[in-house]
Amino acid sequence: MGLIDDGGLLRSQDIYYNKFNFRSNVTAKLTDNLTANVNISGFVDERGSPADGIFNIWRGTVSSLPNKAVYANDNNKYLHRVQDGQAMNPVAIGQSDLAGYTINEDKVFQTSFDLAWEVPFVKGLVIKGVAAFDQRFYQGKGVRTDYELYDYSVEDDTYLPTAFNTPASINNAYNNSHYLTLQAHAIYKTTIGDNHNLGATLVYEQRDQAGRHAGILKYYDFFTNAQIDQAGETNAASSGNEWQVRNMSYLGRLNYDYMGKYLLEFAARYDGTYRYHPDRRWGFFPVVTGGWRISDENFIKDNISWISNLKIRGSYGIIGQDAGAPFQYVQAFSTSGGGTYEFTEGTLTNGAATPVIVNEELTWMESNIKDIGIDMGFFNNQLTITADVYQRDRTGLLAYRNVTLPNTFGGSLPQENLNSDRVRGIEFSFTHNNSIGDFRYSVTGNINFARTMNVYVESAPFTSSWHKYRSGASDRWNDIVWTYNRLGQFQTEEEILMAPIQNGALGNLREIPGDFKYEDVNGDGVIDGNDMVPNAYNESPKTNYGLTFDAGWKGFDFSFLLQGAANFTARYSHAYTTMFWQEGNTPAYFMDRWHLSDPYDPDSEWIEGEWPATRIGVNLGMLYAESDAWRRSASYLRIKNIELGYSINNAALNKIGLRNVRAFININNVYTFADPFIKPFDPESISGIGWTYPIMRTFNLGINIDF
Amino acid sequence: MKLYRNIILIALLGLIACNDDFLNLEPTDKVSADALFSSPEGVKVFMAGLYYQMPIEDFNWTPDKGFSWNTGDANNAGMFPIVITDDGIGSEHQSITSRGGYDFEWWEQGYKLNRDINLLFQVIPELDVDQEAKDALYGEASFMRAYVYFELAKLYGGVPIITTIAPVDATEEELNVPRSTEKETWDFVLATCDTAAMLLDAGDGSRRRGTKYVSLALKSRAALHAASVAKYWDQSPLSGAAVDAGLVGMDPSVAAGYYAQCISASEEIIEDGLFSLFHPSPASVEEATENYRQMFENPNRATGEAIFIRGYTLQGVDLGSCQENWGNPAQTAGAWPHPGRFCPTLDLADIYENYSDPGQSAPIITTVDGDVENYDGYDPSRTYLEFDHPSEIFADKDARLGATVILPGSIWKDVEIVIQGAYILPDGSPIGHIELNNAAVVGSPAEYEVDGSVYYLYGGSTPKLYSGFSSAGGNMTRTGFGFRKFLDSEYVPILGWNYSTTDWIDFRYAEILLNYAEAVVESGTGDATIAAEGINALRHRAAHQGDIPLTLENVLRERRVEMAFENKRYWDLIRRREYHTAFFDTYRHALVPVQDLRTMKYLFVRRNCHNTQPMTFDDAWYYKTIPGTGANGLTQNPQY
Repeated sequence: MGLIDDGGLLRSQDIYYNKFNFRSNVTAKLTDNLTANVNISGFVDERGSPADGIFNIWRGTVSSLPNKAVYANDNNKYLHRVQDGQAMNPVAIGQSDLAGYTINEDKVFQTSFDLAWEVPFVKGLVIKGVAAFDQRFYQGKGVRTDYELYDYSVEDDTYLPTAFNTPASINNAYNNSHYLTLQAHAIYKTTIGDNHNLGATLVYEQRDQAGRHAGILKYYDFFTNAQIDQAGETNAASSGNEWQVRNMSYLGRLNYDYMGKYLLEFAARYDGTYRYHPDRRWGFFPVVTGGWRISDENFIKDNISWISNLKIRGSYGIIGQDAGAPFQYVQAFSTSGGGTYEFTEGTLTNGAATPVIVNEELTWMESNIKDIGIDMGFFNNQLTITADVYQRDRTGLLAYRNVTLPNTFGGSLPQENLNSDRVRGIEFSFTHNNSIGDFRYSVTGNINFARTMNVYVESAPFTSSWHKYRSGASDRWNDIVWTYNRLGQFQTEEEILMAPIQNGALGNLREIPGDFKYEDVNGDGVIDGNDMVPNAYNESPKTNYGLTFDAGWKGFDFSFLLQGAANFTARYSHAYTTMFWQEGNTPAYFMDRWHLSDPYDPDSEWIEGEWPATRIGVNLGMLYAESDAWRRSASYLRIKNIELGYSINNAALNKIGLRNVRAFININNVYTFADPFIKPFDPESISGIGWTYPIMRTFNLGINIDF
Repeated sequence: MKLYRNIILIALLGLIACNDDFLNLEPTDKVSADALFSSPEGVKVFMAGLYYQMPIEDFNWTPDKGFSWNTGDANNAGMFPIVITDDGIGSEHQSITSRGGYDFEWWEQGYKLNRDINLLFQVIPELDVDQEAKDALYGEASFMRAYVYFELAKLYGGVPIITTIAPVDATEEELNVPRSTEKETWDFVLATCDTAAMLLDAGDGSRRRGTKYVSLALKSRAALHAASVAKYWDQSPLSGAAVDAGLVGMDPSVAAGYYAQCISASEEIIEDGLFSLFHPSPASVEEATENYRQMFENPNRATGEAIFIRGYTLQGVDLGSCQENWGNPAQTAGAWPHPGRFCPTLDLADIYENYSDPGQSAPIITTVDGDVENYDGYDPSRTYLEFDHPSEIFADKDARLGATVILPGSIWKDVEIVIQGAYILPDGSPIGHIELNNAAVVGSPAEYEVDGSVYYLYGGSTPKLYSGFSSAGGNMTRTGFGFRKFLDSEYVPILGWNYSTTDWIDFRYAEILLNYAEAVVESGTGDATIAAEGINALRHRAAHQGDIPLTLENVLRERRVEMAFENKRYWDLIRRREYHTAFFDTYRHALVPVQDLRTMKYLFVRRNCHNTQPMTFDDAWYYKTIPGTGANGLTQNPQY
């Protein structure tokens, strides 16, 4: 059983999360051969926030200009109308009492019941039935209440109100869903002779998932209470729909080993889905796995004592995945997404969308997997090493056919199994345990590198080889970002005049010293999209790694966890990479910029800085173009956690009824090594706007007491 | 024991015995063709989907997003077609095309709607309704088809004409229909209008579906466009493969035939007498201003004049627009943080007649020397006219000016709209947006005390108290004029997208009178008396007393004034091949109201819009680029 109550980041405590969970597992041996398991678990949680959410509150905090006070004329009866950088006064929207709130509640119950019968007349055969039923109840409530913010008029010493969240509104949403899984297992294990171990498993499974959603939105003529019944009747909207998903599977597995030394397994699934045409809904997916435990061979066992484990293994097979919009084989008009039209003033008619072209061929995507691995243990397994090399070829990825039909055809084409890709990767991990006297320690590390290549990507015919080079995706890594080669910054007006044109029809009229200059790769005197080169990784890490260290000495224990990723980039947008974005406030790092020594004198001397000269507005040309100025390597190494503890476990404690007492101190998110521009943000939550709930460094001091 | 064993065995057998009927589910959001077309109400549901896609050039038509229909991202930063013509300029943007020649793209959406309409043609014979009902459906489908090809012809010239649905597995020849010539395409549009007008009646008066008269109005507009392209092609002749094949461009000799078609279609609407001008005889200039404003604030008041209306209904939820948000001046923008996005130009205001000098454009005179061609900024050596109140300078102007744009010092929503770009300090130094030769703006000091009273550069101490020239947020007009036509006097913008539900008049009787007059005066055929009566009726509705003669200049001025901001100006510049002369290294202009702290009176400075560059229209932009020529094998338009 557990209870969580988190008060969140705001002083108002209006962002909160609380959760209650429980779990109960009961096993009953009904007879000698028959065992029943009943597992029930669930949780109830509630997540609350001011109506505008952390994104907007954060945005307001970042974007409000420093010369805008929270209160108009500093009079704390009048919250100031601050709307800098497309944001709102964060003190206003951070208050649920003022501007409204949202509450999301989930109640989830998971139950499973199984009966296992050891068949008495066939030794080694177990027959098992499993029924699992999960139910999720979701309800959400959103309330936006109207409030006023003020501007101060010096002329007549008045506060000019502006109303927000008008009209006030309330919405309720309900979403109930269930998951019912039924399984039948037959599991057989036997040993023939002394050395031949044989196992066979057959499973039948069917899954049924269904849900219903309903939502109501109403506006108030005058806000009274946050109840649907008390909102006005003139402006209301409702929504609702049902969904259902069904799958069936037959699974079989046959495994054999000889003395645990030579291992062979054959497994296969036969999967059915509701999604596709009845003739295409079933897929057969076999996988074969084999292994050889070399360390059990006498020539190792008898000769090399420091090898405690050595095994090579491999697998080869096909895995299926069902995806794509369901029912593409049904010829019909769609009653959603067909637009609306007002045939008579004040009345809206929902339209129907014409059918997309029927597709009876859509079927399972397949992944062909190959994996070769080695497991090693040395010195009584004080050092263990595991390494894997793998390749996954996916075929039948969804795409819209683009080759044969001209764009005057007018019909929407269905998804088809057209594209393919290939992932190749290596994985490596090790563990080392040791103790020297009272001092014991262990180190565990892992690293994974994987990269994906598009093998075939459906696309419109290319109009030229250049077009293909620039826009093609087939037979290329899927993680490439095209950027301009940044050469540096313009130092003088003369340099700008002599440089290739980089601001389109405006020439280089708007460029000033300090602006970025770029390489004219094709040498045509113009910097444009044709000068971009495939020079950067995208935003998903190709390499992930981690290292854990644990140590103990007498009562003391110490641990730390390192975590990192590499071979990827980050590009923030909005305020974090645009000076005075939407005329809101701007990060302090932009102070280190090119500027005139006297801002009122255009002829005064330029002072150099890291960033171009600050300016607001449009027609800024290539200031924010994709280059290494803004797209930075996001590789990082983070000291995720450090913990120090001390345990007491002695007779004196035992006497007073305590078994063990441990005091500890730990720090989460201790330190991050990264590019200096990326470091202030969280490289794990990566690119985009960046107005996210910030990562926390937490310090914990605690005592565990076992009774 | 035995019991449990049996339960398990039965359960297992039961599960495995299931065949895959378990996987047979029905979709919850689809309906079959038979069910949909089984009743007129079902047909209406399908029609709603078609009308929704119609390329109606309304509040949601923007240069960069085309016909956005408000789906998805409604944020077009106020880039309305107004701001890419000489009638307006954006408060922050100044381009006359947003992405070179790629603006207004409507190719794939157009052919999608075309296919949907073809589907309707295919379904009609099979419907279980009488012949009369079928004819009405054919008529409405023809109207939509003509509307689609009119839009395609305007944008691309000659296009593939596809009236049947090819199967997916059709041969390449069947699928790759080549472009028709521009002339064939226009002829197809006009013939299809004729079919629609023949099959349809006057309709139910809702003004929201295709009728006989909407079809004729469409024909009137389309024929005038085609005639103008033919007549003025030589003003900006293009060359290349598309021209050689006649895919764009027409011979001047065919213009007469198109003018004749415009005249006949317009004449039928005029003579049948079902439509009339809204409040044609006002008692005063003020009444004329108010009548004109009322019509656009709610077109349902003017169903006598409105021929076709695009309705907007649901606030925020589904079908609304953002025009109130972008359009309102800063002082009446409510909670919306980005108002004042489109700024009507001085060039437009200059066009309006003065009552005292009918039949002439009346450029706004600001100096004693009367020089209206000097846009260089404030020059202390010239003597400026001074006024006690900023609105006085517009006193003699046509009533429609004040209903189309917000004038400095005018009242809007009970608020006096303050638009001021500069002041002149008691020592004679000019501060603000009036420097000579477009120099950088020195906005300091931003306030100044004279005799114990504080005066502000932009006319107020906080941006809630003024609507002009400050660069704060791009929310202030930079031309001296605010946008007013279509704005609702009751509605206060809120912080949200698509909350304006003002309906849009797509065709109105005034345009028919103007089409007719232009066709008559351009072709020398038709009835010149009716044509002259038409343009004078519009002027009388605007409180002019006398008549002016039927000349091309008078007709075009009247058209630009009467139809201002109704998204006609863009196409007028295109079809008459005037864009490249209207924008040839050309600035758009502003009228800057200035408070003179020596006299406490107001003077005005004519100047180039601050912080803008001169713009030039590229001849290639008379047609748009055709997308996907790699796959559809079509001949590309010139210079793309």
